[in-house]
Amino acid sequence: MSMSDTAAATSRFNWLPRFGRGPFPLYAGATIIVFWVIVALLTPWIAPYDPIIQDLTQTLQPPSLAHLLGTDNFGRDVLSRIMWSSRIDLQMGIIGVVFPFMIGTIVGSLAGYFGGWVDAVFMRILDVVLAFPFLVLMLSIISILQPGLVSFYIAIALVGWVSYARLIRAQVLVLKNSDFVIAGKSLGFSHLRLMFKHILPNSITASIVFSMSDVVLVVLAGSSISYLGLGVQPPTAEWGVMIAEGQNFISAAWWMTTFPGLALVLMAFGFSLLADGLGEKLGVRE
Amino acid sequence: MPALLQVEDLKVHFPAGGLALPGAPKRLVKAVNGVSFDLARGETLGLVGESGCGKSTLGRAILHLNPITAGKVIFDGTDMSKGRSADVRKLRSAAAMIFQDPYNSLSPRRSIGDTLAEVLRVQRKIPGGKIAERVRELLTLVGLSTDLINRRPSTLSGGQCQRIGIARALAIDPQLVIADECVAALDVSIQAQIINLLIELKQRMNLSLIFIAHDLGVVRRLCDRVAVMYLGRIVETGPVEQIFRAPKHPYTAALIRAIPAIDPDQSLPQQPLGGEPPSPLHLPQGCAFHPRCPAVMEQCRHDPFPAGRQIDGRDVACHLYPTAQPSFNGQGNI
Repeated sequence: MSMSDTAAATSRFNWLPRFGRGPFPLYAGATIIVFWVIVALLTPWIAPYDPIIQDLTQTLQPPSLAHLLGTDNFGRDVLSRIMWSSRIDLQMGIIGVVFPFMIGTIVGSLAGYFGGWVDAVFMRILDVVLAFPFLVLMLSIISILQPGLVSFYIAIALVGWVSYARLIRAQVLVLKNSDFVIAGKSLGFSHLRLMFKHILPNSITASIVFSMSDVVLVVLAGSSISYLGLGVQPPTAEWGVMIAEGQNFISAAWWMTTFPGLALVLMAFGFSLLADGLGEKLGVRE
Repeated sequence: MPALLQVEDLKVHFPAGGLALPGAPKRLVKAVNGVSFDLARGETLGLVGESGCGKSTLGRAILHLNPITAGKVIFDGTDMSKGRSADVRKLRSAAAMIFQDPYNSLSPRRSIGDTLAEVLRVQRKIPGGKIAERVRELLTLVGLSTDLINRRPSTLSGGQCQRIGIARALAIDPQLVIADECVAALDVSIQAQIINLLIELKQRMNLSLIFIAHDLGVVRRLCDRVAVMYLGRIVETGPVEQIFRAPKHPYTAALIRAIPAIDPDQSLPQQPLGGEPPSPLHLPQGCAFHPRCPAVMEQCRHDPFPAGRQIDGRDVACHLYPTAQPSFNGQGNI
């Protein structure tokens, strides 16, 4: 891309409100996420219809003024169901990232800092987890437990920590030999203090950026697993479930799958932009 | 008065990376290979030598930051090489280190006031209520304005950061400070300021200082005694002026000849030391210096590393000089 192209690309966004200095993707992504959070919070009051009660007189209605995004095969309003889904999908994205993040951070810190057999043990466990395809491992853990959201969270915590552990470990390995850590050691700082107060604050930025793009993967994984019938159970509204249900009617009622799909894409897009912007802002490039 | 620090035949060997055939001897980097010296209270010892000769490793081993392979480090009457945790704790509250890279030695996400206060909190030498006051005192002591207290290291100059590094070392009220190349990364004018600060502080606080450097001019200005290291061993130690005026060991002589003079008319030394120091993985037989030594003799290649001889009030490890005779011992107490 030439210089003039870049200049044109920047000037194209001049009409956008300026939120202070910062990369554009950060604010675009944040705006989309804030939009979904507001939708999720206000859904009980602003959703036009109940997401579960069936109205068999109104089945498979195309988008209209009464049902802005149409109705499904049980006569439920697609817009309302999408809005209720946003609560579950956001929750899925957040819980599905927080636990792997915490486990991965702790494991990565311990493995990197202590090295030796601690490192060897954790890294072999990590290799075992990595050796299985992600979805296959998720599916087997969930089917051992029982289909449902809680099982999904347990499975994602057991599988998802490996990426964080590797990211943190690599950073800790570099930082533990840096002068300020050795200085701390020579001044009698405890291992815990060095690990969590000195090394971690300087090694965690890459993980924070990764966690934003990981939200996308987790929501997609959650939707895929719901689609396969092992995650959120019908009649609860969830984007993956909705796409799966609408699949049989794709030629008669395209709105049943298209709109939940677009909602999912929009949320994923928001988190991706946020990750990109954060990476630029915090000076981390993946 | 007993010495504050006695190092006896200290060895630090690291396993070398890479694949070793099973059954083959383990490859070792012999970074420090049998070093002995004493350090009195209030004394400043300069530790000089080429890069990679083991100066920094020796400094870190004394502070128990590197594992010790063999030998003893006796600090204030306690042998630290056994690594008992109570002993190490005592060492941590009495000996500190100053680093080469002023920026990298400070935690980048902490204000400098925080950095200093943390040391005081961990060491618990002064009550919690007095910490803020002591932090300001330390800043003044190293010649910094107390206005800088909330600044991050990245907003300070290299010289200012190095002063913070010194203040942090002084925060524990140390008896021993090891300064590892602590002026090498600074501008010449700032170097002079830091050296003067160190001279002032060691006089005021009766510090024992081990000053690791490769800049011999700085060592001459600051140190009482100097120890010259080559490939993990000390080849010559003695009072700094004597060694600079009349070096005995051929390696020391070559180092001192290589100091560039400011005077442009004075030509550079005729015979700079040729070649690179051998790899510490494959130490040469005999005296480790023999492949580069201008005065090499047959016995240097085969005899074991020469023992120290005491000549003119110093200790020289070289076959050129006769081994210690009773007549040489009269003045040779170093």
